[in-house]
Amino acid sequence: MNNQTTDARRDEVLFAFHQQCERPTAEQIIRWTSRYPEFADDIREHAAIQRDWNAMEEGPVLEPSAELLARGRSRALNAIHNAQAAAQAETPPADESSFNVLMAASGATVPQLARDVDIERSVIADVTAGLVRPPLGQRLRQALAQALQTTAAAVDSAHRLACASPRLGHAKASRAPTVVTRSYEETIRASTMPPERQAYWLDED
Amino acid sequence: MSSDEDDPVSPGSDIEGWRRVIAQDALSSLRIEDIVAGLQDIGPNADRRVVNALMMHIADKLTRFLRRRVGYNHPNNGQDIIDRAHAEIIAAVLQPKSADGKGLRESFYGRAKFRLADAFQKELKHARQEASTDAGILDEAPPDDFGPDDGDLNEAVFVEELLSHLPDWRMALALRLDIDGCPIESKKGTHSIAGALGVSSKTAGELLAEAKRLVRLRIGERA
Repeated sequence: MNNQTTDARRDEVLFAFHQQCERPTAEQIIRWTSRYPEFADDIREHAAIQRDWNAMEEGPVLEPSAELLARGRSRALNAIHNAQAAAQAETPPADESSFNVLMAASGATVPQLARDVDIERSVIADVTAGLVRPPLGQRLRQALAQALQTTAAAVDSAHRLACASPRLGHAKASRAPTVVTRSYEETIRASTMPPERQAYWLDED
Repeated sequence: MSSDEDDPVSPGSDIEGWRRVIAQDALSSLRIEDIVAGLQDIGPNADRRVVNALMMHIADKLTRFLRRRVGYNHPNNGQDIIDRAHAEIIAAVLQPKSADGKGLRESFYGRAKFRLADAFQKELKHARQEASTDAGILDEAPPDDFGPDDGDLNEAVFVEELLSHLPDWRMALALRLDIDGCPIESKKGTHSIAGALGVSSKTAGELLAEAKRLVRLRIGERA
């Protein structure tokens, strides 16, 4: 076993020990150290720490200072930044293509795309703005893939990206701009397309 | 949390659902495991306002959880241990493929407790490296800042204060097991303090005797 495997195994055993022995007794400590002699010292030390905590539960509740909370929040922001950087590095470029990128690659605009697909322009505008919740209808996925000369999976990916950062609605004097999303079916039914075209896009024909 | 019908339902990977929960200031009504799972499912690149709100909520909950388990009787009032454990756990929240990342969405506080114990263990090792490990440490004078002086602590807190200043974690464990009624040495060779500590009966007896001596010394100082 290499070091990494040993560490993972140790973590697994100790985590299980904490889960199963909330107040470790001598019997439990002996049973666990006999079962996992390679981690016996770790188990004993963790048992001692756990018993300290059991005793602390009977004492006064300690509250964190504002400074301690602020440091925790700062670390959370760092973790977000690091996770974003890691996700960026992991994601293949093809999966990152937004509707803007796909449309630019095929020379399409929203009105042009709507004409190519033969659907009302507002539907395409809402889909590309991230205002239509997944999943899209099968026919629209396929039609968009064909019009944008890409795959249905790439359309799904662009749709997910759009939904992750939807375009805000217009601000009003009385309240902040809001994001109002609808399901695919609600979007189609709210369009001014005739009933037979709505039925087509909803696979109801 | 029970599975009552009134229990709030997690939005899961529905970003719009999370926006509603945040707007209603209702994150506290959800299980923290569901918040971690939702965050991992929508990913760090989702709507920044949602990701930030969920992470800040988790960070605060975690800080409070850790503070309640780390007394002020550690270097820098225990803040170093809290910072170390917090950094490790909060990073894992956004690492869904890691063992900690998976563990946090299944049992957030269970996993956090385990990682905190690890941080404690590292501090114990560090302290052992710095301190003399021979019997001389047992004769060391108790620290001057021992115990609060408000005089209204209950017995459990008082005993905890005494134990927290023992120079060897094995002494505290031996004393706790002794209070449980566990013998130093079992005739059948099991369920003994010696067996639990992995030491000979002679060493277990010495550790327990020394622990009792130091505790009595403390009590005498406070009397």
